[in-house]
Amino acid sequence: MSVAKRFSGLLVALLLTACSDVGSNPAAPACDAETPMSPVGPWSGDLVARPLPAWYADAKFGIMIHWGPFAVPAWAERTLDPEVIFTDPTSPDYFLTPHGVERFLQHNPYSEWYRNSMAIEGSGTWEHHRATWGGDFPYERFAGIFGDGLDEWNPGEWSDLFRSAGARYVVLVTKHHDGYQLWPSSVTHTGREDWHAPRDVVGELADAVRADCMRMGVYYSGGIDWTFLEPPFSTIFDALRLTPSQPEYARFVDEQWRELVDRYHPSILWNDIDAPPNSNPERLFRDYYGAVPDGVVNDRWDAAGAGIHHDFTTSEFEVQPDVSPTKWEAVRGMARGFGFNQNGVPEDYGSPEKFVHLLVDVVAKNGNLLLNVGPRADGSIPDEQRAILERLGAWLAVNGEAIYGTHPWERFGGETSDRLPVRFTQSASGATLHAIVLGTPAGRSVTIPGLDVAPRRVRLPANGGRETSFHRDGGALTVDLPAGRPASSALVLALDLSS
Amino acid sequence: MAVASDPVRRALLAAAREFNSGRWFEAHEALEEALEDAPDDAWPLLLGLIQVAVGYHKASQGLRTGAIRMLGLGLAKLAPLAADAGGVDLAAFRARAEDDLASLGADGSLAPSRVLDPPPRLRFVRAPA
Repeated sequence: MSVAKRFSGLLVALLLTACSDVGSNPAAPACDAETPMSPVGPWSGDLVARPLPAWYADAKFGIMIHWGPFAVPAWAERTLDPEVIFTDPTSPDYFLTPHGVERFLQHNPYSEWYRNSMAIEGSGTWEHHRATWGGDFPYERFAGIFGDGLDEWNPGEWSDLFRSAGARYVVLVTKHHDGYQLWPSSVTHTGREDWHAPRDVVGELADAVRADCMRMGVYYSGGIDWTFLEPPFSTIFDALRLTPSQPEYARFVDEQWRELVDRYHPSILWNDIDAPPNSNPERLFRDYYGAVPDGVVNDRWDAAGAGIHHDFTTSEFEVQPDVSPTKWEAVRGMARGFGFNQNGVPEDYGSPEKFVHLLVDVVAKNGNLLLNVGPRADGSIPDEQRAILERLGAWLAVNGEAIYGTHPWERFGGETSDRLPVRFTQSASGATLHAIVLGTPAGRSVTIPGLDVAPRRVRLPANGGRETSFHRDGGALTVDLPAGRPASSALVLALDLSS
Repeated sequence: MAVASDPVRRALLAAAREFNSGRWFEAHEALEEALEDAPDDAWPLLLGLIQVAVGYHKASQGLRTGAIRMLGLGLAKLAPLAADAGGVDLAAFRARAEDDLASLGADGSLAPSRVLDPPPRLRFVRAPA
């Protein structure tokens, strides 16, 4: 080190001598102490007894990102609505039937499945592709267009938006079913070399996300890879052979997972569909937990239900009906899919308030919400998605105490006397019960029948945390609402139950 | 480039986590630790960021003169650097610090800590080539 360097450092140190205490800004969320990479080797504990890392239990809200070559055509049919086909057994298109699976494959609402949908003769996407790009335009050319546009991508802008939305973690699709990788993998794929982004999207986003005090997780499609098993898949029989079975695929997947862990030490391993036959996910988990002691893994390594370890379960476009005794994650797109769909219409999104209510509902039932963002190919985030994130951020900035770090209460919800849904969460200590009214009470008070608790005081975070008057009557709690309170369609009543 | 493979990038990330948490003193420390082993061409960036971080630390303490001095010194070091030097969104960072420096020096009526609302951010724009 040069003398000039040393002098410069000394100058800075001298200029700091007058500073004795540490400045901080309480408004800025602080980074937690992310556990550093550990060189201790495989974790040897009992997988069944492994406790859920607290950061994940407390985070409540994460952002998933689907982005890749499929963002160039960015098109899918609007025939099916995932909110219906995944949740309504009375729907003729209910997914959990052979007919429902075929309907899903042939009229796929997910634009990220474009590579398969464009290959199904007669499908809406097949028609669209021929009309827009030409019947002989191969999917692979979308990767070139996507890569050319990457130069303008700014991971800091994404991270800014997600942090402002109140997210505490991010899960990036590093490889979707088309097999295209968002990092420069060194794992050999003899059938498809250089099938990856020209920038290290995974590494750059991980840095930006961590700089903003969020956790970084990685999604990886282990169960489908169309570079190993060519589309189309359109029938129930096809659906039974979605996962490549050749040994080299199992090796490829295992090596890629390990590469992701070694390079990026992600806080979440989020596999999709299934693990390849003859793979050993639990050996991967042990090595992963050895390297990232507070990491978590999802439950999609095990389509056959063989009981492979997981830290949380996942529900797609579906919300658990009641408080779950174990941690779960509600994952969904903002509209009818995950990748951006330029065939969508604004009504597909629903109102931003819908997503505030969804977050509250999920958290009251012991879940986390993993809400997907589908950027355009150039990295820009459509206005409808941005508006939802901004609304969530604005609500959480005021009412975050009712979400982050909370636990489920003895029941997930109830109703006000004027039939507005109510959801409950409680602080970690149990000293504060949050009753969250999902709607705007009509009058100057709100009554919750059956809420037989005796608070010492009641605060309204939306009114600057000021106390308000209340009374109990026949097992109901009535809270008075001040005139001129800020409008909120998810009103938090913070009940102090400390003794 | 992933952060784990680049010591300067690693230091910048550690500093950004502190800076973006409103811990400007700790951000300065994280950067200063990296100075010793940093290549010569990384020094103007690290020193400039250190001085700006110190400037914000002083603003948080209500020390107007120190804040103005350190923000000015830091901005002078950062001025000739590329807008994405070190993979940092330096263009946005400089613009914010310049605004804050102007506010602090305007007529002396603004409480120094007011420039921290909303807090300044240090974010990444791309990995270094």
